[in-house]
Amino acid sequence: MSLKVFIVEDDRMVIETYREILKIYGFEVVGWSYNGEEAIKKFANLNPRPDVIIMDHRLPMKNGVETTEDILRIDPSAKVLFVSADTTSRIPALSVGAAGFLRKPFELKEFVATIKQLGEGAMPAASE
Amino acid sequence: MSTASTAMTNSMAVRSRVAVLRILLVEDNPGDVRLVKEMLAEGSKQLVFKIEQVDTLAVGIEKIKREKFDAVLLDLGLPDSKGIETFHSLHAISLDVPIIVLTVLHDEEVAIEAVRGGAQDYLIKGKLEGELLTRGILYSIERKRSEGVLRNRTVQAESAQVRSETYFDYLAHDIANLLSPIMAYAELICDDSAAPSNTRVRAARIVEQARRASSFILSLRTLQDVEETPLDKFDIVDLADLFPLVERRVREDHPEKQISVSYELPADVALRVIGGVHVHSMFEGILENAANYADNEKLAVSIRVVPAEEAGDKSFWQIEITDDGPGMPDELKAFFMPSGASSERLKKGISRGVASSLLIYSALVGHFGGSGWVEDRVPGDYTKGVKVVVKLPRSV
Repeated sequence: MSLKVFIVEDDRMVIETYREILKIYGFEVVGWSYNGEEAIKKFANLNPRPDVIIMDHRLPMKNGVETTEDILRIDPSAKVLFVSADTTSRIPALSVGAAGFLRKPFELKEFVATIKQLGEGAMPAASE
Repeated sequence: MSTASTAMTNSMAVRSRVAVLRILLVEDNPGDVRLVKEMLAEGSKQLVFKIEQVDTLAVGIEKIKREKFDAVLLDLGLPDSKGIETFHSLHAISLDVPIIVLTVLHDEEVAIEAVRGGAQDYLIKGKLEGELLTRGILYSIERKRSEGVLRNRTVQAESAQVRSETYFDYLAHDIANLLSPIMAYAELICDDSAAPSNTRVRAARIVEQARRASSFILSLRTLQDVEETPLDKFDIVDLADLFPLVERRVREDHPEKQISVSYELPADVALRVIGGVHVHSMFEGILENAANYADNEKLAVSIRVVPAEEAGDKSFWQIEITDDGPGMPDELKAFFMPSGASSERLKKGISRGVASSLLIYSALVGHFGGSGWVEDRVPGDYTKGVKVVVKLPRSV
């Protein structure tokens, strides 16, 4: 079964890029949001929950760190992977509970490997 | 009136020929009030003083809140307030109006305290005379005006700095964002086994350029961070541990080249310097540059570290990285110099197309209290390779 990924990113081209990469590497994109507020609402209604959430930082309405906090309040086991060009968001992101941080522009192999690693880590041990 | 005060009066009267200065006199002693009024009544052809007098601090404060004055003459001993507090109370609500303190001889120390706290001047009652008082008022107004101009300039400079930092931040952030799809799609083409091989080679070049752009943005950001960080916040690194890592990285990045690296390091002593990851990246950058610019397949690099004593109380490690690549013309060498990257040098560097990495290293080394320069490997012949010398303070 393919890993489910939810995308929070305000740049349409970057979303397109994520979708294409994720499809090629066998992930399933279960949805995306252009801003933090909408992301929280969509995430709350997602069933089943995504295995990994890709999170930008500089977003309209709510930034990535605030959005991550809210998402983790809804589901503390959510795996949020920060992917941002704003390197100053790394420490705040990790300290509110993001599971990983990648700097933009990311290396394709590292991006794919990190999502896989986080997604599989979220699975029950029995399925490994 | 003295020449100096006439000149100042003239400057004030440019527009209206006659300058009218509104003075608030906060003084309860009728004798002193009369004296001051008489002295200022003399005025001159170009200058008229219009005096408002009040007896108490409370009324003075009310006046200054509601009306505009050019200067305040303030007696420190009033019925409702005595001493330095009188000044502080009035000053707190009228920061833009020059205050001249009037004091009696035995209270001169308090008057000096008032000047330290922001009063423009103080005058001693009993020693007052017309010209002294007029000049005191005019100088105070002029000084206050200059202070205001200076303050505005400082505020403008600060806001210009904030703006330029913000623009840089947007630029760095958005370009990194824009590079993401470029790099990702080019990498997808590289990995696509169905794509023709020359297409994949071209895509690899796009990836390489995007990576360079990305690492350049990161270097500039790093430099900005470094310059804002106090020295005690940086990690200390041992050069003997660092160089093998740097060497490995450069070999990995340039599998097409045969790179030989020889070392000459002092034995039995820790080669510790301040700078952590930044010093690491700098040496990586210096070696990367050597590998990037080497035209031949073979590149020989030697790394030598020697103690370099300074005249002051600091001692340094001198690190010399020599390569047999294509060398560097003198004009470019000059940009990596002991004095670091001054603003002028940075600007000149832009117009001369100097590799920004050299300027960044200069600024880094300078920030850590060190220095650096570039020499010819073979003195007098710049085409035979370069020797990059970096002096960094030794850490214990």
